[in-house]
Amino acid sequence: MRYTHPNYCYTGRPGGTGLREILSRGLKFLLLVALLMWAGPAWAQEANREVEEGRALFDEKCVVCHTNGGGDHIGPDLAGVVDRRSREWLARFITVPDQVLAEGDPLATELLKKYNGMPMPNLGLSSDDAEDIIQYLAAPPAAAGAAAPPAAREVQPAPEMLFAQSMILYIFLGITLVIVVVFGIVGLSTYEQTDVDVSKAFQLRRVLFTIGLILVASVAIATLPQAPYAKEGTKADRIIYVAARQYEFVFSEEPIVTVEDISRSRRITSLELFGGELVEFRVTSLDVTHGFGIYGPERQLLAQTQAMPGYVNRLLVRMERTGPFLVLCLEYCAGGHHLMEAHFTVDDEEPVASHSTQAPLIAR
Amino acid sequence: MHTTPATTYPGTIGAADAAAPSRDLAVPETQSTIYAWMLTTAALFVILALLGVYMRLVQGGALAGLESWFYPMMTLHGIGMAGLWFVASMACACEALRKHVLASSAVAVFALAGTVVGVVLLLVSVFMGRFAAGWYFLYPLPLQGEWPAWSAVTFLLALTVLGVTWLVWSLDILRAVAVKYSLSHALGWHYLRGETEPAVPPAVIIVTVSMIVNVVALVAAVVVLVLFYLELLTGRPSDALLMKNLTFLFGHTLVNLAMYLAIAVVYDALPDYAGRPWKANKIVAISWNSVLLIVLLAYFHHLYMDFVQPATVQYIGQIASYAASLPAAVVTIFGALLLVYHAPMRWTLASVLFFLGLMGWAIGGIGAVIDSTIVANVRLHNTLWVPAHFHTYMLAGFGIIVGHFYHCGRLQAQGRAERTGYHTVLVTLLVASACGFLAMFYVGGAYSVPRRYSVYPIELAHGATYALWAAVFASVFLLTTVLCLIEVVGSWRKGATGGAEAWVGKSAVAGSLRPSTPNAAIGTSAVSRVDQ
Amino acid sequence: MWISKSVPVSAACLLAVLVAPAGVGAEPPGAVSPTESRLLNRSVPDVPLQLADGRTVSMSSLWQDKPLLVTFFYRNCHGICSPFLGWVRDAVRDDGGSGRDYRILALSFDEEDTAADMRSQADALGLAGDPDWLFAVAEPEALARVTGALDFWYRLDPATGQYDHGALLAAVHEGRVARALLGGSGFVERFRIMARELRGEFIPFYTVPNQTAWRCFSFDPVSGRLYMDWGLLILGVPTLVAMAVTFGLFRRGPRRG
Repeated sequence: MRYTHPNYCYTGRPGGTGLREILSRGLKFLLLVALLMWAGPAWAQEANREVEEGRALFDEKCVVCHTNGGGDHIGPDLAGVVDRRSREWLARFITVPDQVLAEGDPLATELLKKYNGMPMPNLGLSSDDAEDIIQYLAAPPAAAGAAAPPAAREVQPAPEMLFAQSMILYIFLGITLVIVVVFGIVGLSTYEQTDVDVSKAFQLRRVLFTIGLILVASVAIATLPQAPYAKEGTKADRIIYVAARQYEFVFSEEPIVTVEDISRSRRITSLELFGGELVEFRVTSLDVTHGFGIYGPERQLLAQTQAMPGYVNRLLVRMERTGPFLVLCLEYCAGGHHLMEAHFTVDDEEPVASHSTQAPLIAR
Repeated sequence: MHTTPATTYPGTIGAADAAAPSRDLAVPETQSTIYAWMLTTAALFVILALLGVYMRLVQGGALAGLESWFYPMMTLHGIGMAGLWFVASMACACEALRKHVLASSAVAVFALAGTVVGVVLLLVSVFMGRFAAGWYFLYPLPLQGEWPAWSAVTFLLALTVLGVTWLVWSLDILRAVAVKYSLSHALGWHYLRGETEPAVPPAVIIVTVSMIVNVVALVAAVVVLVLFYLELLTGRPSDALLMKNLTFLFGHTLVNLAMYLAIAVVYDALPDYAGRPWKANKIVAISWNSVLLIVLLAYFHHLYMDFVQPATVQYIGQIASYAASLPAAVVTIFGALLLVYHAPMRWTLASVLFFLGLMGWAIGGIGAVIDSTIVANVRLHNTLWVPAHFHTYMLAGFGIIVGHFYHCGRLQAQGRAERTGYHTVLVTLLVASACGFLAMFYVGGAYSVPRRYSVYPIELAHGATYALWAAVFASVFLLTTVLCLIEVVGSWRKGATGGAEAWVGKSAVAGSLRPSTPNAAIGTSAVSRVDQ
Repeated sequence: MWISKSVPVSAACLLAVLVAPAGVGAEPPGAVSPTESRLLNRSVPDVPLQLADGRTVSMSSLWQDKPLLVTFFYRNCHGICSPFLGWVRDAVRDDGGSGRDYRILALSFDEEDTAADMRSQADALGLAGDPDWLFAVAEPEALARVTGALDFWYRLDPATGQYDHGALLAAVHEGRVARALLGGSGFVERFRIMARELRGEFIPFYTVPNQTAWRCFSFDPVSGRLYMDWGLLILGVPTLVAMAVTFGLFRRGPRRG
């Protein structure tokens, strides 16, 4: 267990500062000298490359718990962390956080306490990786390309309830009222005690059963065809790949099947859709089961599907509304569940000519 | 005993006659664990409900700094309440069944002990390991959370202990039924053929159906756990879809059964208060046999939003969920209403709670049927609508269980006056606070506020308002429940003067020493009396 | 004693299922590779083409009424072109969907190729006279627009006179790429899935590669159906055990007295 980290097991033997390691260190030193002797632009380019790689690593490994300027998450916001802590400490904590904690490092222990006892896991990063990440965090925000902190969102009062939702609520309240009235009548009837004709009651039961059966069957027949499952002949105007993981949604133009795909694929950082478009979200998960719930501008659910590891769910939504949309995780996925969200906008522009022949699912 | 004309329910038999249950013979000789269960249930309910209040307060933003315990407490509240409801219903059903068939007391004590061990393991896992994978621990979350691996293993072990204990318990009840009845009689199949003899009490039919389904649910739990252990040992991942199916086959069915068992209790006890018999007949037999088939298919509605599940299965889920509501509504609720209609009803705390419990079951059922409609599920799945409808069930179920505890206690205290006025106040408070508490859930659900969020996103900040109000209502409800429980324990203490002060301690001894033949005889005589 | 009989039975049932070999089977090869997905939804330019029979048509006329499968080749290829076209031909034949559901365009990217070369290629494949198989050449500029839109690369190696090039089959539906297949393993299966999608059959899921044990369902590209896998059997275990236990317990019938 002590030698899990690559930096600590060059030779695969405990405690071995083997020849290969000396060589590799020497080589790195030589490379560094050579690099320093290069002209300024090359140096800058190298730094830029480090920032780029650092950003990719940050996006792949760190973003689950940390932001760079977006506020505290599961762990602290890392913007400006380079000014707060020494680089040596940072590099060590990035590469072997478990060891640093086990040694009882006071800073690490304090952080652990502050962030709800959630220890930073050892992510198997090398010291070079750590250097890249530190470079990225040290770079000025513009160079780092950190997303601007989300525009101050204001607490809004409860919106007007959507038609579908209010239908559901009123149907429920209506039937509840009927039940309460019936129970009330029966309860009060006991003040007047008489014989009850059971055969008549059984006749009534037969009638009620028939009515109930017809009601239930017709509701089933009416609602089953409206199920959100894609029908034959459906072709989306746009396909968005969604990979969910603890605790973020990654939108991409390409399928993301493994964590490594995230840095390789063309990630959509700000998703913009057009009104009237039929959009297919291909949703999967990279770790546990998540939910993918689309909240419209009215901040109520329009459509949802689950993000299940090992499967891809295809959710088709006709974008009938325009404005800011919110995506929330609707399947509990541990500590950061409530932080897991994404945003996209639907613009009121002339959409690209739709070539779908049917309108299979309409988010009303 | 009842001189009942074949076609009418008597309206005016003397209430005392009707209310004198013929159990005084059976009870003193076969002491049960019901009082131990009663104390366990009361204590655990109060603690777990407090956790629920804590959760709503956190969501309401009233407990800054204490948010980090939200998810572990949510897990404990969920699994605790589901388990508690199940064991309490089981205990009540066993108690109600004792005059007909006799389950082993040793197994009942074993069930109590196993449950306690499981609960202790759960507490260790949640409080010391901060385990927080939610009550149905959806695969593969237990293996991939922030909690240490040992807490996940402890949690799985706790469930294993509980699952095995309850499986043995269910099997023992089935065995006890089998001693007395053949399978076709126990399931009321002879009613389907048009025969009326031998008369089988509805409670026996319901319990038999429930126990068979229960075995399905618990074996599903065992399979889930085995697959978890296999992954822990071999590292080979399981199919998330299979695990989810198994999880809900177990979880949904178990919670459903708890309600059915509570209904069996009502079938058994409500006639005592209505002064009319509630007998099994062809319709009752048909309805509960169809439940046996349908209830296993209804769980598909938990997977509507998993589009990988074949659409046919989803449609079956909706049809089965609808179908499950018909026998419940038309047979059981109609039957109960008919029983009470113009009856010489003796309204006590117990019968009022039974009656309100049935009403809650009906209302929660409507919420469930709406949610099990696929198009509606798109808007409701994993919003607060889900806790809304099952809390309606749960509160209804607990009403029935508390009512039954009171009923059991009052059996010992024949002739003592009841504090009717005080009880009216209690029931009014209970109903009012429950309505408020549940309404906050339903409105939140209709507004798409997600369930299981410790803090609401700013777009849904209005969810915090509902949460705060719900916390207020829940506190009132909890306080009133505590007062009710004090009444229940009081009723038992008054009744316990007849030399049965130490029910809990005695039950184990009594269970192990009791010869079995006289009990069977008692059971038979009790039944023959009921069926006269 | 009831325990001694029913428990071993149910335990044996459970073990039998759990020990049974996992449903390894072929994973549905439906996943779209990143390179392929990059092409999805791209617009394909409408350019004039000269067909083997000498007619000049606009490309859009070919995808007007049904989807068009576009592939690239050149007549003098000594490498992959002929075998690849052969695979496509066989896959189309097995699928049985050409003509009714789509037509196929094989477009030459060699500027030297002529309509006569197209005829000889059709003959070589035994497709001469098949109205749904179109072989065509295009002007260099038009060709560059099409290959550019579909990211199809080719480069002449002056030493051999042969082209280095890829293998691509793109399904164009009303001017946009609906699905793209790059050659490689599992081509035939993936072709079948694509053909199903072109017919408008919606495959509601595809699995991502992992080594999962005991799936509930798998997708069979040949029949286009979901078929039950071992996982479903496990799902049935609880019910079977419960039935066995119930019948076991009630077998002896009630004891009288």
